Amino acid sequence: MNPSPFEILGVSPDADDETIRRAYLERVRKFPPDRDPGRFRRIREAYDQLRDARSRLRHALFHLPELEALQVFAHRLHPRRPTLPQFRKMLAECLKDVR
Amino acid sequence: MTTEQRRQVLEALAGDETTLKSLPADSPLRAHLAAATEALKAWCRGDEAAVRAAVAGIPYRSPLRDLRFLLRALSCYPHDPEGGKSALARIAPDSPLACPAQVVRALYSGQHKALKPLAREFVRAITGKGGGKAQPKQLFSTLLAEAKKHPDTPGLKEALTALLAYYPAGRNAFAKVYGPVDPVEWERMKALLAERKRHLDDALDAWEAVFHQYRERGRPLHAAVVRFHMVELLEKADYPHLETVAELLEETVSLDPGNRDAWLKLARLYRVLEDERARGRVLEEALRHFPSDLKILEAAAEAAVDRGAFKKAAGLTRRLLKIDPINRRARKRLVNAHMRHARKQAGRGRFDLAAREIEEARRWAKDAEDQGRVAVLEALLAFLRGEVPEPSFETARPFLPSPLLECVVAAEVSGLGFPPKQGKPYLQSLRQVLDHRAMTLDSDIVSRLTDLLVDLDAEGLPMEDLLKAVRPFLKKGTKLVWDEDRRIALLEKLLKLRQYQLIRDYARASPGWKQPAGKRRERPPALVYFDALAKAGGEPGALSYSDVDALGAAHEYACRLQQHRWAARIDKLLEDYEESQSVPLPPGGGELNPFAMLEQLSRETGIPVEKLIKELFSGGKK
Repeated sequence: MNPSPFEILGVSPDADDETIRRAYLERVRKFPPDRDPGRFRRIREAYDQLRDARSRLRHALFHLPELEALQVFAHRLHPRRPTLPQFRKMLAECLKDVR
Repeated sequence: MTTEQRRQVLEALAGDETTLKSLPADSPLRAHLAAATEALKAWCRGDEAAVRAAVAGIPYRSPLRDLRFLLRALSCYPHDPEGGKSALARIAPDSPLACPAQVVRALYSGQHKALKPLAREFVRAITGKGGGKAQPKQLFSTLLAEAKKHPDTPGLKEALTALLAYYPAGRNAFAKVYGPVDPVEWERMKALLAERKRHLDDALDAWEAVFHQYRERGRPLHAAVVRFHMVELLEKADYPHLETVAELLEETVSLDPGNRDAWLKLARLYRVLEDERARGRVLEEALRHFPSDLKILEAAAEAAVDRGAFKKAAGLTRRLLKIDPINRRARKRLVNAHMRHARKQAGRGRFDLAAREIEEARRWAKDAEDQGRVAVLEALLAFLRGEVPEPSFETARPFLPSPLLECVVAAEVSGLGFPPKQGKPYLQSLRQVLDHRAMTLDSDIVSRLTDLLVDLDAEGLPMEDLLKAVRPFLKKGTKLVWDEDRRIALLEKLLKLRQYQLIRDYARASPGWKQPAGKRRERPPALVYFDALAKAGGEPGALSYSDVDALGAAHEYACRLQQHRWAARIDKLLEDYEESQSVPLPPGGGELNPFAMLEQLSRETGIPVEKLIKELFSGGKK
């Protein structure tokens, strides 16, 4: 369920080079490598995938989203939620564990 | 919070009437319950804004405060698992909502089976029947149903197109909503699916179709990007046909000359194919598109040096230094290019031109070693021109302490093609100096000398006699006390100089190599790597079985020590060994050559080919 590079940088899929660069620099300032190396690496990789028109085209042509990512998309269109009674029943069931 | 209070919180949230009635009028639980109930309702109907507004009414000191984290974790599902888990981490084990938090944890981990029936029902209401595992057919149906109602939903068509790769049977249903699938998109999905299944040939066939369609539709950038991708796929193949890769790259750059990486890759490929003419042409063209690109300038300068076009190399490096004046490597290359050109001109008897090149080299030489080497060459040139009866190296001495000076002199004498009778005394002098210097040997001079030898070797100077003279001196260095990092650096240099016996001597002289009496200790992976490679004479194919075993163990040890660099190098060496043990396919695929197989078998078993043939035909019977 990895977020897309657009999500990581917080830009829309039709953003231009400059917008992407600005978003990248802003995120790098917020999450520098010494504070959160893993996050910094993900930001850097996302920027590499989107930095110019050719990179974005490569991402568009050769990136096959994972099934899980498509499932997240479907979930966002239609968030599945239990009913209030279902929620309350689950809470009531938990009462048995409170000793 | 007491057990009774925790129960009360859960009962109140679960809507237990008796508890609600029993709560005192001034109870904080009663005060905040309305906001909590509103938050629950809002979350159940999927109204995130209303959830946020409602939980804002639950203060931090409220017994219901953990509901805020529980709902936040639920709202993060499934797109932000990290956010969800960090919200859950804020619910303490003694919280009234600790049990519901466990249910939400199970939602994220997918471990639903251990849950109680009503909790499982709650989770299933969120994940659907599949229990959170995506099923292509089911997902396709869900999205298609949405597309029938709102076909213009952003991203929906793209998501359904991507799903066709997992569920190709949905093609007709897709067509009913969005019209027939674009043939190029269909091929693209086929290619991506084949890549995913690691069916390289199928993927390449499908990409080929995609490429042609893009070209016919007048989309050169798309076509070029596809070609480049095919190159990357071919590079992953065990035996890529390099000429085919070169053709694909030629097409890539002709369709998209702005792809710098493709130009560089193509130039590197022609270098491997030993086609210097094509390499030069490609870099010339690349320079037209990227006149100020450092990597292209560097590659072009290196190519010029390799084909002996030193003047050209110097010009390109000057351009590079204008853009990047502190590039030490480029500066060194420029000095070397001028010096090599000077040697070339001197060899042709054009001493004036050689002197001009030396002058240029002096202009750019900044570090002591370069300045000393320029001075040596100048002194030898003066001698060749007949300006002095004997060459004098006094101007070089301040830059090159002994025995570096003698070493450079011997190398330059040999590089300028002095007859053996004239060259021998310089080698003799080097030997004497080294013998004398060996009395006061230190690791610093050994390091500097090997640095110098590496530079001289990289410049293409004849090294055989020089190394023969220097070897005993370097051998004495094994007895010195070495910092292990410096020892590894020295081993790297000796590897570049192909001094395999010295490599083994230095590796085995390390305290890390020696096994304490009666104990077996793992040796440093770097030392095992150098020792094995040196024993094999630098040829991975010549590694012995015991060394392969030792390397395998060293690889494991490097992984345990998290020495990733050495783990990767050992891995590569073992990979090269494996590759050398298999019979290569003829270029472009095709059938195996039985004679090559027999030769390989003969090498591996030590049985002569003729005997192998006899045994094969007699079915192994004597």
